[in-house]
Amino acid sequence: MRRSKVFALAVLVGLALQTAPLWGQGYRVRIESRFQSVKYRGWQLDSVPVTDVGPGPGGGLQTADGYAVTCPTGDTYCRFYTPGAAQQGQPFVTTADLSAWDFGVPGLSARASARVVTDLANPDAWPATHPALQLVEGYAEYARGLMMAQGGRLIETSRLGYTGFDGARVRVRPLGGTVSAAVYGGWALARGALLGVTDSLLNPLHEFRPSKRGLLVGGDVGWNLRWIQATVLYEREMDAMGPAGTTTSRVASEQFGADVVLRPWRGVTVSGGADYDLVFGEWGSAEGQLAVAIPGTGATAAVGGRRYRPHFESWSIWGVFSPVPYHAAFGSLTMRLIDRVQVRARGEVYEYANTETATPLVSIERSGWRGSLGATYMRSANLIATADYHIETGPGAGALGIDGSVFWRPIPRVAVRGSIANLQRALELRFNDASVWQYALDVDAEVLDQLRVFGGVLYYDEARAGDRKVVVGGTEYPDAAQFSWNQVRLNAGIRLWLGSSADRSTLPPAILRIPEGGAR
Amino acid sequence: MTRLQAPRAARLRGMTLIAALALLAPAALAAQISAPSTHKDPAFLQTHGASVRKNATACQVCHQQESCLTCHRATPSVASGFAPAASGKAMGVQVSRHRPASHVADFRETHGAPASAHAETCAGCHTRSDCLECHRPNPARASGYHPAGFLAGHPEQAYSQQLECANCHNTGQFCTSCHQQAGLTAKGALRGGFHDRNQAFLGGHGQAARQSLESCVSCHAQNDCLACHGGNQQFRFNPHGPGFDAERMRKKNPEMCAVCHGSAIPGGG
Repeated sequence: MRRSKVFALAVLVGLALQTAPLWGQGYRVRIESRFQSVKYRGWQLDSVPVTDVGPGPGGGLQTADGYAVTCPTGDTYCRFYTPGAAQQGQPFVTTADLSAWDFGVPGLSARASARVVTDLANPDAWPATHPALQLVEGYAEYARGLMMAQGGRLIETSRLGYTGFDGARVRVRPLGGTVSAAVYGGWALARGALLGVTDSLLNPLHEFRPSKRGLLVGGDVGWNLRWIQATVLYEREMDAMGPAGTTTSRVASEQFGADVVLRPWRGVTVSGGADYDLVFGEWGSAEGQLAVAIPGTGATAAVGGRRYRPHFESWSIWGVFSPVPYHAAFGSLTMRLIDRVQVRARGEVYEYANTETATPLVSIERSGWRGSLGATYMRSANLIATADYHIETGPGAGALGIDGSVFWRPIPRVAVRGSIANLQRALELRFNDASVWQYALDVDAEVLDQLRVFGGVLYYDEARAGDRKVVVGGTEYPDAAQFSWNQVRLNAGIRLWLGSSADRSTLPPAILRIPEGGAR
Repeated sequence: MTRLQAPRAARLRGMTLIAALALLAPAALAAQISAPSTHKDPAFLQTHGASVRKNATACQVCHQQESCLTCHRATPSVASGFAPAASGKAMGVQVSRHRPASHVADFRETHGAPASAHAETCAGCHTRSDCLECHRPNPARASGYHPAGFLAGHPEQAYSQQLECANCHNTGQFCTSCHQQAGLTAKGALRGGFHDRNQAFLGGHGQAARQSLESCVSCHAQNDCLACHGGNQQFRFNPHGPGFDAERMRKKNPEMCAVCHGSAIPGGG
């Protein structure tokens, strides 16, 4: 005890002698405020006595006014969904990103990213608008030579997830940076969230959740050699399970994985990786890709394969329901067809593994494919037009769409973008096909060197249309459940950079004048 | 990433002379001079940092601070050892940003493996906020990774699991809460109604569930499934697939087994 007090006193004296400024001599702050106004339509569950339904034109049961119904065996009522109330959200978010360095201690820096969030209309309409203050990242970093240590709110990025936690991370790069190794640990945040898994905001259906935040530990070792970069990873999260107060720890998630990138020749990149779930004893997702860029032509091509299997923590029951993976093969090509015109194409086919379920009354699509074609006409860096076509079909839903846009910078500090798009979308399990036209106009202006304002308006012309028709007295009527959902969506924002001269948030004119094409 | 552009006047004798020539005969200076042989190494962009640390003086024959900052905007300290391009002097070598060869048309969808293999390579050009803008999305952002009208088209990508939604969205906070607000989440005992294209869907949903379980989870609570699949319930429909390793699960997390099986965990002794 006495020794620790002496140590603490020595630390305080040491810090005082450093006479370091409280605020970094170098800093950068980016403040951004954004607003958008959106609407969407919900559904309303309704019911009707079995005696009031009859066969529809397709053979299924429906109400007298044309709603498709589901009538459980033995139940006296049938159920159906009608268009529900409109939901309007107007999220308004201000984000501050801060980086600061030169605290008087060489190698010490700090970084923080936080948001203030509110919804000006209905606070429950749009997701992720709670809590009002959200800390995305916030940590102190000490980097010296080939060692780096960070502490605070961190996000670990790897193929095992984009995992947030409150804790510390240490990374060393021995052998001149050829090898990199890191260990990290702390109290985990929930997947994809800035909150702990215990937070009620992440649990709208009031399901079972761990009573305490999990403890996350992990690490990686990587090699950064001339032609190859590779990393192996391990991550484990322990949970406090059971009723509140139970302290028994159990493995909520445990995975290892590996990634590799090879650059055997100029313009050729081979990359891939895989992960394995140690809790369920199953391979998770994996992918491999060969990408080729042909020097001097602007052409790139890629072929590859991938596998996807969702990952669930073991504190939920979903993992034991044995989700199956799908396997996919894909390819893409981009090339300059004629001067100033670039074309691109991409295609992917996929098929789910056998679910080994016997469902004779319900047949579900097991495979699908998606493809896209597009072209870009670049008159200059200030005038660019694009057109794209995409089609997707597979289990659950399909989509077909076209998009077109024109980007124009009439004066150096102002950019305008107009776009039009159409989407046709069908669902496999529900009568709810949609057709949407969108017309959008966006403006982005650099008012000052370090101040940008931007905004846009989008007209959303949506019509829901069932692919079945209601026939009454020989006359065909549209599906009663259909509705149109036309609306205007708005967005606006402002972005401000502040920083010391070392920051160079805007580069010197000599750099800005560099032609994009460049000599080789 | 960068593609190094040959210096317009590098390797000539003296920067002052170059500056004078630049004023007098800019056209003549436009001639390109080959980059050093080391720069032609395919891995040069990934490995040039070590060369700089080893002998930055050699780099400064042609390069100035602005060369580095063209890409290393996020980490200006890497350029601190280089002299800035002072006004009235020659500009030095010019560097322009280019997409690296690996950034093919669909790189946005496939960047996970290379980013995970060596994130420092990405950090050469990309700032932290570049990642967070998509992976921790701003609810007030009208469009970003997804186009502005994505809401209407998201069922297709969600059902087919083109990408892992949970990489960026918490499924409870983002999917379930919105579906609940829209009246989509299940209430009470399951009696069907929403999946109205097939009257028998409830009795034959197994294939759909194992293929697109993430979609089911976006509307259904665990209790919806446990009503029939629970080991202590009336029907006790076994949800485990053929590859399910019960013994491993019991060792890793026996309390998960107890959620359905209570204290009578099969094989639990």
